[in-house]
Amino acid sequence: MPKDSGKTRNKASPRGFTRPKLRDAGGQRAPALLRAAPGVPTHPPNSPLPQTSIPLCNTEGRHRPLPRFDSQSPRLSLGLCAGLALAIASVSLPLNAQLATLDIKRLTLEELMEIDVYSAGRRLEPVHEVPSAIYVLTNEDIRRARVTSIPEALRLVPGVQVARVDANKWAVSIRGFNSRIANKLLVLIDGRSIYDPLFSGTLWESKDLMLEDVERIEVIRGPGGTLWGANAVNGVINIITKHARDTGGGLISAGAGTEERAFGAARYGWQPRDDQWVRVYAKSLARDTGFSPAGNAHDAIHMNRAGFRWDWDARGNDSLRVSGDVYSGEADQTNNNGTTQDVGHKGGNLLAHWRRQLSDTQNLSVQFYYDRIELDNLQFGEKRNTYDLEIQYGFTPTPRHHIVSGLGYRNTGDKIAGTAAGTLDPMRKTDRTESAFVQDTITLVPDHWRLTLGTKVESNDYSGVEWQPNARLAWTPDPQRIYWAAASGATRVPSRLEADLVIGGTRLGDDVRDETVRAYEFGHRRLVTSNLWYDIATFYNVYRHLLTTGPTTLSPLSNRADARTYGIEVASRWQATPSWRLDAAYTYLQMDVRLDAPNLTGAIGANKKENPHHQLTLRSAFDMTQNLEVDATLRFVDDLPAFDVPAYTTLDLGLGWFPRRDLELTLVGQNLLDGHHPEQRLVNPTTGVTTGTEVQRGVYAKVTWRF
Amino acid sequence: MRRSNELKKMTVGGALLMLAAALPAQTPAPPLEYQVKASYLFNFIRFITWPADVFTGDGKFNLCVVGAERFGNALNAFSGERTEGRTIMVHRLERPAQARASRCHLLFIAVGSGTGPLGIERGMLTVGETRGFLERGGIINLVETRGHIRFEIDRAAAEEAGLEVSSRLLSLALGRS
Repeated sequence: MPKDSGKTRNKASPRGFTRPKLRDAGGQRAPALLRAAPGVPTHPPNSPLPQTSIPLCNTEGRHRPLPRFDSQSPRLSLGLCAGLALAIASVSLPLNAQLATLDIKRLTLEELMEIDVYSAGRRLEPVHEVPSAIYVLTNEDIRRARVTSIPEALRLVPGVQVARVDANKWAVSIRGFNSRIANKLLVLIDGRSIYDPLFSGTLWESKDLMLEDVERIEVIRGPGGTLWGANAVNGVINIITKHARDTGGGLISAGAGTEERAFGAARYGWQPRDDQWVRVYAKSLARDTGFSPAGNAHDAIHMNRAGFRWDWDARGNDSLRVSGDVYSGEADQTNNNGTTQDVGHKGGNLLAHWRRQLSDTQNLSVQFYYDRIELDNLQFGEKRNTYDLEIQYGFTPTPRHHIVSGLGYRNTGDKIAGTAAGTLDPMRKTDRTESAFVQDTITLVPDHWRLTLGTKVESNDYSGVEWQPNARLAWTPDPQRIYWAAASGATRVPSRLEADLVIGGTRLGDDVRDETVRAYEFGHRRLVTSNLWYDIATFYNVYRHLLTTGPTTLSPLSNRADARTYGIEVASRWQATPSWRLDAAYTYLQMDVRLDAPNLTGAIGANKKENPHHQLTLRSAFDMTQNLEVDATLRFVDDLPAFDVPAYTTLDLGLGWFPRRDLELTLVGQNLLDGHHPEQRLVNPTTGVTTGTEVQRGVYAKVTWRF
Repeated sequence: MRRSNELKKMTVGGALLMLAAALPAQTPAPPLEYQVKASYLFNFIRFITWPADVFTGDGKFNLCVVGAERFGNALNAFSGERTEGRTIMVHRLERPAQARASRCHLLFIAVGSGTGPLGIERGMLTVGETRGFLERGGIINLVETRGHIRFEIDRAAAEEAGLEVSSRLLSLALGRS
């Protein structure tokens, strides 16, 4: 009986989002993506191997963190004998053949939607196979953690130290050396670096985006030198936003609370033409001051931001992305001389990224961006323009080699305003950096052994030519396990502040040189069952020429400290029931800093008493009913003796309710176990003034309407 | 010297050829497109709830396909697979009209298997891959845009068939009423 087309249909389901059932939430990409369970054939052993790919990283170009895993390609067979040999091999090694075919029982809906059934040249890169200490936070992880900023989301990642300095500032680092101006970490948003070359650190208070637009955050611990360059000494954080196709329709959210005073965001996405998608957004937030024992906290913030993203996917081979943001706001602080100020932040960026699949085995991408910062800080005002161009070329010359190579040019020009107490000389400067890199992923034994070799060479205005090599070996004895080992070297180039600092008329930075690290890592990942996996990463880092200050504030800066750090990071996820998921992340860190002379001080976090030995995060996400979600995060962080910050345990609880499919109501309590607790302080060595406030217990409520 | 080299090559080549002849004829792998569609079907089974009364208690989920040749052996992966407490049985049909007799829970109608209107049967999820499948009365249609396979759902038809579609599937479906 034919359908009655006159019947009223239900309202269109809102595009882009409705609450996913917990068991479907992606999390770490299905580790068994490529894998047949042992003993269960998915395809007859002698079927030719289809080449398929799922791009893991939306930002193509150099900032693909993952080495490529090549699988046998019968299409590249060179002659009749080679082709037959391959056929024979596939008969005699049925398990190997199955390993590289699509395991269609394990693909999730999101992965299915991303498979390009046309192009055959890209590579499958599940997180499970990456020979690095990598952790991925998905959009769902971030949503269920009920966090309101990127640094808060990073607390969930093993190996990352996040300490809140005050209501608008964080100290974030990887594997030690944490400080408000931690400088051993590179952070990228869609391939655009957001660290400030003035001091090689990241000002998190103005680096904001709609968390609903984040597709995932990839955190790679360990030197990322080869693909990303100087400053990625201890790790890289790669924040990837959603393709505009995935943010169609409208979203309006608004919330208020005791600490998260008020916040709101609106976004709208549409499809102007068949192959183009656009979204625009605007957001605003205001946060309350933290707790100060003296009652004089001055650290409120309000920040506004707006931006767009435009994606064009030409049929088959070309894709182009253009995005931009502007922001403006104020972040208050107590200066280290006891006075207060409201620091103005303003800026914007424009980025274009083009990628073309040249053939089955070659791809080319070009990225250009412009970034402007205006920092109205009385102690160090900064106006900066950055231009960055990167070209990346990837190709597979033979089935066993996949090579990624690239060229980069960066031009950053600034104008710094200081005070009589401290300034920079020269006050205006333009730094240029040229770089080239190459990385080869070699399949030694297909599906078992892979070797990645690479190096980057960079030429900059401070230290001349730097080489940053990287070698990784991966062993996958069976589809459920990987063991990997790596040795790499990386460099941190002196920041503008270090090199050009003038205090009381004296230049302090003339002797400053690069810091170097040699990192030795080992890791193991295992998919125990389809509901349980764990990941262990260990490292031993040797640092030389770490920045030191002293004996007095007028002494020239020097690089007279070495350090050895080592630690273990363990992560695990257990899908206990279809409605209940548990995550755990444990970090152990040991730092041993040796100063050349006792009257020196290790600068910028180079002090074992400024970094916690142990950190533990436990997360629970529970779907109580079809429309009710209950989430909890329990965190323990060890003490920081240098700041007199004791160890703390804290708990966040969140409740999410969907009274209608397009409406989400959230109620969240944060830092519930204590009225207030400190996490990080800044102590001025000369004045003894301590700045920084304590994190307070807080509650917020939020409404999100998707249409 | 050269002659013995040539002889060697011929021997090896000949041996390989004979070996090749001994191999069973290779069935070409199903095109990627149909592997993806097969995987979609599997996901639909997982994320849709059927009314309990359409199951006979033998623990079987009947997955029926009209035009199964297109899938090659991609469907073999699911035959006998257990999910949601039931075992998937793959049935290859000639025409959609045979579906009722086979007590199909999921009926996939490949392109080229007819264009007539489809009625809505209680407990039967109809999935197609042709333009206008939903207008014909189908419940889910697999469409290809820019090289990606996506799907659209007719929610009213699903409700009429007594099927409860999870919000996850709805959120990922192409915008339609």
